[in-house]
Amino acid sequence: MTVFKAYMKIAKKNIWLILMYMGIFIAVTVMFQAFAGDREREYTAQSVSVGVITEDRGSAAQSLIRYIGSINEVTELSDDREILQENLFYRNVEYIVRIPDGFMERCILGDEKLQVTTVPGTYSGYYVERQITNFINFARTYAAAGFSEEEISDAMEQRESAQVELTGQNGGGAEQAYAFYYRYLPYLILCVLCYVMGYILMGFRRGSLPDRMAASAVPARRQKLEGLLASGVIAIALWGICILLSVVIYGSELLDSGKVHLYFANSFALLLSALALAYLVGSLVKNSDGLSGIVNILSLGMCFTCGVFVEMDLMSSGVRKAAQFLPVYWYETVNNLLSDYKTISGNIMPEVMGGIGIQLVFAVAFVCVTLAVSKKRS
Amino acid sequence: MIKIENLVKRYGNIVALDHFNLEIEEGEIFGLLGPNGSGKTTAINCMLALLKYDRGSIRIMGREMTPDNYDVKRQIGIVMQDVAVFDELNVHDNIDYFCSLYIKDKNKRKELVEDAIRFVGLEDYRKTYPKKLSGGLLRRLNIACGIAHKPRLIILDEPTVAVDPQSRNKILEGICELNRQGSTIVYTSHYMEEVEQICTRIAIMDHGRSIAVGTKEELKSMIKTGETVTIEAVILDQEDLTDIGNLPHVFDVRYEEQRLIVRCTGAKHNLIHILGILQEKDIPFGRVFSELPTLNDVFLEITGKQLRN
Repeated sequence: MTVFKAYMKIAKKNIWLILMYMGIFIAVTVMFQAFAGDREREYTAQSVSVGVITEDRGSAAQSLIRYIGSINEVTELSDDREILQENLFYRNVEYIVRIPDGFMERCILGDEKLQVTTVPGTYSGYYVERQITNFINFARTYAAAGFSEEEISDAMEQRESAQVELTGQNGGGAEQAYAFYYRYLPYLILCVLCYVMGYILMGFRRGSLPDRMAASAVPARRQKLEGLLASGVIAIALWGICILLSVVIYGSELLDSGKVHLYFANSFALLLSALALAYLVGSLVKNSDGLSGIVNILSLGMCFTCGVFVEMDLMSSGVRKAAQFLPVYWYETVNNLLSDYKTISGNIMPEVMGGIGIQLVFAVAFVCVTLAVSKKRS
Repeated sequence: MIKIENLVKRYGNIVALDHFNLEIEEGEIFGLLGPNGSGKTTAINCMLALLKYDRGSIRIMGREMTPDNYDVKRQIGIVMQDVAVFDELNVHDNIDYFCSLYIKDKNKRKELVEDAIRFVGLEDYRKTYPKKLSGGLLRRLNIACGIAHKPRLIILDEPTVAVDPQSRNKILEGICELNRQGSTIVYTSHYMEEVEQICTRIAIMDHGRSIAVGTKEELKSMIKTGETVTIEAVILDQEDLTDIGNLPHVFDVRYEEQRLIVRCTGAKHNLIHILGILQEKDIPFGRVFSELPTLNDVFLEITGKQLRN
């Protein structure tokens, strides 16, 4: 296993490079994950300071105050013109609503509108007004159904306490944290494999080493097989580390997702196509500067055009069409399916398998090109 | 040990080896001497089955040399013209790697690697990487990688190119030592002094052919020149040159830039006769050299051109 050991020794020499890219990958994943978290918060309900003047102590009026208070900060104010103006001026409240005596009869059963005062030029007024309109509409519906004031109040309370999980149409819900991890994985795999395999293959092609090896007592076929075995071991070790890292970071969230095997299979298919591409790169480059340039172009180019760093939905149809000729596009397509669908049902599975299959076809194509290059060179 | 018969190798229209014949006996240090492009490296590559040839046959250790003749390959050590080592492996690991291409036994290999390191004098550089070695040390490493497995036949293709004199002497001494230890050596070079110094037999190559083969004495005896006398800082006229040319055993007189070069056949007292004429005519002169024929003279007489071109 002479050649195998030499591959391993050269790979070991690049351990710092591997660790550096691991670091970059983890940093990028954490950064994008945090960014995505911030974006999610933008859609949470916003709290507005609401002042309430209530002349009605009935259950419907109280129910409205509780409803407004469940979203906003409610301050009960006395009906004093100066106090109200002062609170508005100092922005202690941004919106004042007056609940008149006989709220049930006048505003729910009748058509009377609630009297409100807002700070001019703020959007928060519309926001609170919309909530109040919602409440009144629901209350009117209950009233039309024959509910008494107390019953309407109870129904509104129950409705308020009911929690609905917002899910996408496919049942996937919000994007899971591990989906980010797997989304950025191509960058790590492409960079590390291309660099490591590039350095190894460049080493074996340097100067008269190919002739020296051909003149040795180890058959050429055995040399090639040992080289392939070593490349496979290096690639699987990298994949194993990536998988292990995802399991350590996300634990049961990933393992109990029911899609873990598909994430693993998808990343493994990507690994094979990246390995074949790395072999091709290693067969073409002549020096480390060239290698560095090609790896950066390939890894960053693919990651930017295939939906790793920029979501595919944000890209033009032309870019998306061009990206279809790259394996990372299909990896990300499968990744998006896994992320969008909570369970991978019968009609989605063929799409997932198709994406994985296309990556394997890319791997075979890269191997064929590499063989053609080697043959032409020899 | 090696028998090459009528070897023909063409690169398109260029004939690199033109019915090349060679026979090397076991225990020899055989020199392949020729100018750049004479076909030395092509001949070596054919011997190692790295190149397919168009005609002829190569037998090494009594067996036809083919790319898959690993029994023979196992007994050959190669030192390539270009240094063939891994930049990513240190001195020890490089030698160990190339040794392991031939020797599987780990303990035996350990000994052989240590022997090779000592042999080329790289004891202080075991953990050094090739990029940190000087040109001479790198060449020594290249040799260590080729000979570590103690092969029966060692082929060295210009191993002293771009090497400092100290490393060159070390390398040449090492080659003689390997021969004393029982290895047959095939040594190619375009440095005739090296070949003269260490080789027991020499083949002179030109245009892909072996134009002369023999010991250095045999080769020198093939040519007319027995002695070359050079006299510097001398002013002569045509009459003086004619008188010198008429001396017995003198067959070639050249006079360029106040420098007289006289080539004579292998007789005694040539120098005394030439200096006698100069004294007789009261002609002052500078430094005087008398040289025995070199392989360059052999090459010059056979091909009509200098070996060092």
